[in-house]
Amino acid sequence: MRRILALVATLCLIPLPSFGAYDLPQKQVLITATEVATGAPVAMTFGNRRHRTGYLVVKTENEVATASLVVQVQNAGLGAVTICTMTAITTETTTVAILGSEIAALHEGAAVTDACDWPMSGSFNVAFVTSGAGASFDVTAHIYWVTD
Amino acid sequence: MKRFLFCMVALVLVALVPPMPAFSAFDKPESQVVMAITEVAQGAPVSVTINNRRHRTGYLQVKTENETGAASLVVTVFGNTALGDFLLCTSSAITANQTTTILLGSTLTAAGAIADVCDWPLPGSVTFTFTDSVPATDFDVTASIFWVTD
Repeated sequence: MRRILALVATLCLIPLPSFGAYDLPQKQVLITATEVATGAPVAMTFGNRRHRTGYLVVKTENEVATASLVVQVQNAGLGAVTICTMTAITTETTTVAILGSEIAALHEGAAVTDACDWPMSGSFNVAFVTSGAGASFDVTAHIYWVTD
Repeated sequence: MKRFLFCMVALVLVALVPPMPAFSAFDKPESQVVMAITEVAQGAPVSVTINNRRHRTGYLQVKTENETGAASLVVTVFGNTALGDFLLCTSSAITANQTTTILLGSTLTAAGAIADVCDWPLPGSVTFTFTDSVPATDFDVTASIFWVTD
């Protein structure tokens, strides 16, 4: 009896990854609007088991003074390797970059402002840096994964 | 009792079969109706959002019929996110009763009967907007996607 139950439990585990593959995978980088001020950059590191390409969507709100936000993505390893630096964001807007794609940015008038060639690795950092005297943005950021 | 348990195990195994990735591969290629025949008139654009769990590239086929006046239809494709939709593709204007094919999510170059190619891979949720820009005109529009890649 125990053997059979153990067998069933084991077999139940096998297909679970296949359910995950059909997710609408979304990584919430900055879940809620987070203030990113000059001199106080915000950086985070994420584990990334299987995704290589995705849309990074950054929303800036409540600009103070004349802020300029740069988002930098690094593959984390023995030393962080910069794989993407987005064009500076200077207004309250929603900006989209594609990570891990060789498509040229601005192609065909799409609203994707940056394309960063290098594929994402198993661990990566995202850093938000604001410059400008006394400036800040409230920033929200998500990644919508496209490929495994 | 043993026979009953054996049957239960077999039943569980059969139930687990459909989600297995190897079996899902048999689904391909597949198509998806974006919009059943719908009148798209100037001033009344039609938007359809589809959940797209796993496809990144596909042929969008748009059939225009029963043109009234000199209509001009444009199809725009948006990726949906919680932070706002973003434009992925704008098709060339369709000005006749015809079937137009647009390849989405590919870096190939439009040629032959492929009217447009839009580079950007499709994310998990996509909105298609059908817009007629000429006053007092309309098309009856049908659209389907024939998926190419996961």
